[in-house]
Amino acid sequence: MSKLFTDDEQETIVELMNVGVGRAANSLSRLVQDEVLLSVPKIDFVQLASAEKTFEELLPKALAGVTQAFEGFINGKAALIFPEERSLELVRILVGDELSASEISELEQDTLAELGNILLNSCLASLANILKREINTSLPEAYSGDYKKMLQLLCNQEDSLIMLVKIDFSLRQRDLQGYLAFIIDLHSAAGFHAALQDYLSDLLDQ
Amino acid sequence: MPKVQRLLLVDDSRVARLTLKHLLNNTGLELEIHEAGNADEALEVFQAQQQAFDKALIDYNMPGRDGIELAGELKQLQPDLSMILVTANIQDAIRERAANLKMQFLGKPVDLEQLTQMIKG
Repeated sequence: MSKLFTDDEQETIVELMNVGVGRAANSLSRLVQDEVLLSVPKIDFVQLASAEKTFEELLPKALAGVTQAFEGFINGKAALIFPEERSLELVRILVGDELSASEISELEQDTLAELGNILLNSCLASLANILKREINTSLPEAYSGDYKKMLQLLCNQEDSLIMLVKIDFSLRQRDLQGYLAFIIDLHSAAGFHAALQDYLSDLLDQ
Repeated sequence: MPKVQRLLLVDDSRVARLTLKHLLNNTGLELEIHEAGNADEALEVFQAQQQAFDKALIDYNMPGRDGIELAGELKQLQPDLSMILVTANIQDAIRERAANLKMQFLGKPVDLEQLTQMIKG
């Protein structure tokens, strides 16, 4: 399964995601006024069936977050995921303490959607820029539920090849962890492969 | 007394509008802000005004027509309108499209100093 991409290509994907997530972390850091600690991106190539097991092992039971579809040289969906019980606290950090509890609750979905919009676009745009391609992103959609519901939102085709790029992040001064996941559709793997090949050829020609 | 600048702020996200208004209120500039949640609303607000706008701050990714399509329509109505595309989509391709319409480009999250300079300029 993982041989869909060569070792060089896979290494390139990790490096590009590192750059993209670095940009996203910088954006998040500015929004929450705190240092964002990042894990090295971990890439797994899995089928839908095994993705459930992976998600169950990796993610908190109750999730809140944002999904955003993308299409262009690669098609798929990206997700920003938080433990659901931390969601309101995150909103409070972002919109400030001066709002009442009911106002914060009212803004929860909209705030998460906007946060996802900023972070997921940072990663995807950085990827597109480096590979000299273009990606169109849909409007962000906030959700809450368990990992199964999230997988249903992310994978709408049975034959989806899931390239799960998982990055853990946390804030240095606050107890908040989150995850970014990118699901690449099997049918667009050829476009991704071509873009990576062009990028690697350019590097080798220099 | 400095002239009050009239701004049109277009973003489908209420939180994004709140954030931007909060930043605009911290620029130290005299601003009159009008809001819209999508391209149609923006055109309605625009056409209902007696006075011309000085600047429009427009999100890119919105339901219906995107920010660049809206900018093209506003340009038809007011060719000298100064416009800023405010977006999380920081791709070079989007920057180029904005530049083709002579729009300035402001990536999200918005930096107060950069915003202030653009509004002043």
